[in-house]
Amino acid sequence: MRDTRSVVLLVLCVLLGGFVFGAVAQTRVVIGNSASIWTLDGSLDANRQGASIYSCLYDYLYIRDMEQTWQPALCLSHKSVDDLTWEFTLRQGVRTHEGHEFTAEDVAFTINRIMEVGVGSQWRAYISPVSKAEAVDAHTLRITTTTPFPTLVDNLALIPMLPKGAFERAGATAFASNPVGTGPYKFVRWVTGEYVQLRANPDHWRGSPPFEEVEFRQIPDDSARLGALLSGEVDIIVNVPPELMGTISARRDLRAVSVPSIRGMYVFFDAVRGPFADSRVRQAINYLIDVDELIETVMGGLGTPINNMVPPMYIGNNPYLPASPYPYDPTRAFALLRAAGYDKPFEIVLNGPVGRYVKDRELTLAIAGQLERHGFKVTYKGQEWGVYFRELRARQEEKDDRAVLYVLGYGAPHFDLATPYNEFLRIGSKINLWANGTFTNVLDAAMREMNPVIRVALLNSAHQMVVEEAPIIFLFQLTDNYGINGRIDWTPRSDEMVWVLEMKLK
Amino acid sequence: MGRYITRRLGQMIFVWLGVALLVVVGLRMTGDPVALLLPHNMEPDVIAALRAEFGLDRPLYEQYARLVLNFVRLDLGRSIYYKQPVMKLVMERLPRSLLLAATALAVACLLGVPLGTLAGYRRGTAADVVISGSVVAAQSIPSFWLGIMLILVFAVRIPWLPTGGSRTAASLILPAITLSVIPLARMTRFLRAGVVDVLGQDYIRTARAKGNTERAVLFRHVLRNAVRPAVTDAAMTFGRLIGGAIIVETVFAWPGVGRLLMDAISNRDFPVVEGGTLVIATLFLVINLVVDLLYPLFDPRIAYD
Repeated sequence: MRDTRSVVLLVLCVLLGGFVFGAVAQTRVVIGNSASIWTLDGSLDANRQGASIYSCLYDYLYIRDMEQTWQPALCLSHKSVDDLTWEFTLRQGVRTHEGHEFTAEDVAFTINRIMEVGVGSQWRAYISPVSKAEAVDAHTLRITTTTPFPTLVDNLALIPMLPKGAFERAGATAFASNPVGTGPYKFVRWVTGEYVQLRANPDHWRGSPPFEEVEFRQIPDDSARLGALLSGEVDIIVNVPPELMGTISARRDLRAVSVPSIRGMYVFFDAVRGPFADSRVRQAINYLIDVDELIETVMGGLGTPINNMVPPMYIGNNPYLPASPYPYDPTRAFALLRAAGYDKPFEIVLNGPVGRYVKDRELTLAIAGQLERHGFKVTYKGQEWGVYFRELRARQEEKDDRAVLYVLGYGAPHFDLATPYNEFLRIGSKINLWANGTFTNVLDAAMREMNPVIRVALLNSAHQMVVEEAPIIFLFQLTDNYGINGRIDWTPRSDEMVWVLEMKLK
Repeated sequence: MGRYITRRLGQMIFVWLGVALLVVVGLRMTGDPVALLLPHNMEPDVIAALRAEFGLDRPLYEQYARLVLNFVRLDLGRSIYYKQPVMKLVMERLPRSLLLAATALAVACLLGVPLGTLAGYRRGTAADVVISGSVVAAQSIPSFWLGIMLILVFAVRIPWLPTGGSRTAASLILPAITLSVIPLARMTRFLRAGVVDVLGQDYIRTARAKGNTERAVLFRHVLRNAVRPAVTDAAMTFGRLIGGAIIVETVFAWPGVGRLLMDAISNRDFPVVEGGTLVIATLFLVINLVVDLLYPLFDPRIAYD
């Protein structure tokens, strides 16, 4: 009798336990990130995997929808008063996680703090022409810039906004590990290097968010991250290497989803000296690289050829240019090389980062193989990103005439062509290795131009110059690969942000 | 004893200062951390301000002296990357590293001592061949592969254990097993060699001749003498495991001090690399000293008077 009672009790416990566990599990989503985060102060860090966490803790002035168009968030509307002044009308009734009202003072504080030299915010470069932000009244914000800054809103809207009072009460160091925001989730716990736990903020101005609890785990190893998805410990994993996508799609309860990324891969010529100073040589090298083969063999078919540093979604991209301006054509390549005075293939130094982009080492080696196939003697130099980037920056100062190449990738959530051009191709940039005065003048005009139509036209013609002059080898647009548990209904975005508000349970 | 300790402490300080010097000079040879941390289009005044904040604009000897003096005051500076005190970051991670290293070492000792003793005592038998062969095989397994296999089997196929993290006691099992393989193999080999060596000694023959049982000979005479080199090695291994479990910590997302240091190196986070390395070096030196001081317990012939 006692035995029977024990068995019944045990079965009841198991059932009840399963029920309770199931109920908790249903309102929780766990996301497996690959990168480490170093702060929860969203106004310091511009990392995309950080953005997934900040989008839960904080709000933005605007936020992009699935079609990547801006939708009002903290800010309802804005206008440009003159070339150097902007005014923003903010949403009323927004409250911080501590219950205080969120006003224009808070936004002004966040922006002015980013602009302080000693703070070291990575966002400063995004809004560097800003000279001052001030609250006109509780819900009107005025921003002045030192030069016309046509993309202010596109850049500003990426920055999470902090509540001034909570920040000042906590101090910068304490705030960074115990943050207060206005976002749909409140901070619970952060174990550095392991996980960040958040709890729903039912008083958010959008209403209650879709899950009671959100957890971001940091799982740096690709296979271990996949293991966590397969075992059901996490619901979504990011940065799945192409070769592991098949393992996910083979399981009925999981989905492997690839979306076109905001990142483009390309190879940077040292076009200032040596053989690559001649545009015919650069075009010839472009004709010798079989991009389709690279996509197929290195990226497992996941990628699309591009005709720029970045994918076509960027503002200023010229849609009338051929999608593959330099198809694989060795005959044409060698004709161009002969015209430039190179009867024989020469020595090339091919530099590539290791561990920075998906399959970067394999990609660099495949490019080396394709060049060697045509008789070039290629010296491969793969380096860890920090050292690699230092050498790239130092290349401007060097005097030798070697033919040097650098494999690079570029992607930024503002989707504006002026920024990558300004950072990499404009004369005066710290990394630029292409001395084209006309391009620089057109780009400068575009960066000052406040009329969006003229600005796009100027960027279109800058893009055309890039295609014609080929300061880079055009490669492909990457894909962002995700593994998703079937119980979560979610379509990944192109801007690498895993936004919990767009998910729901099936 | 007192004189010995004083001399050893003096040596320790000397070694420690050397480690600190290597860390400071070696790190600065890899480039300017601030330039690498900030976006490359950042204005020079921002870079200069951050360099000044972290004292990187000062002469090298001054940076070295400041590091040493601050360490004595238990102030390891502020992380460039995390913008938090280094002491806080290291101390958050250190207990987890100690726990992982101690568990792995305990597994290694609990299995390695009996296995090594058995292999040595039954030298040349099937048991010896199996144990010695397995030890060589185990030492050849790369830990990232073993870790992934354990995850696939015990967390994915048979979902008994978590794939990673450090939240529950169960999370410790797979990383500790993976980390224990190399020390286990070393311990087994040391014990085996020690037992074989001791068994050939005259005093063992004497012990047997005195009519001791085999059991008494093994436990009182053989093991006690054979275990000595293994104890020293285990202590050194413990020191190494604290900061050197990077691969295991990465595969199992275990937030230990090894991964903190590894991330710090790729982020050029000088204060964390310096502070973390010095904390580990200090621990290593202290463990070394403690083991040496405890040595008379294992070997009565050694005395420090």
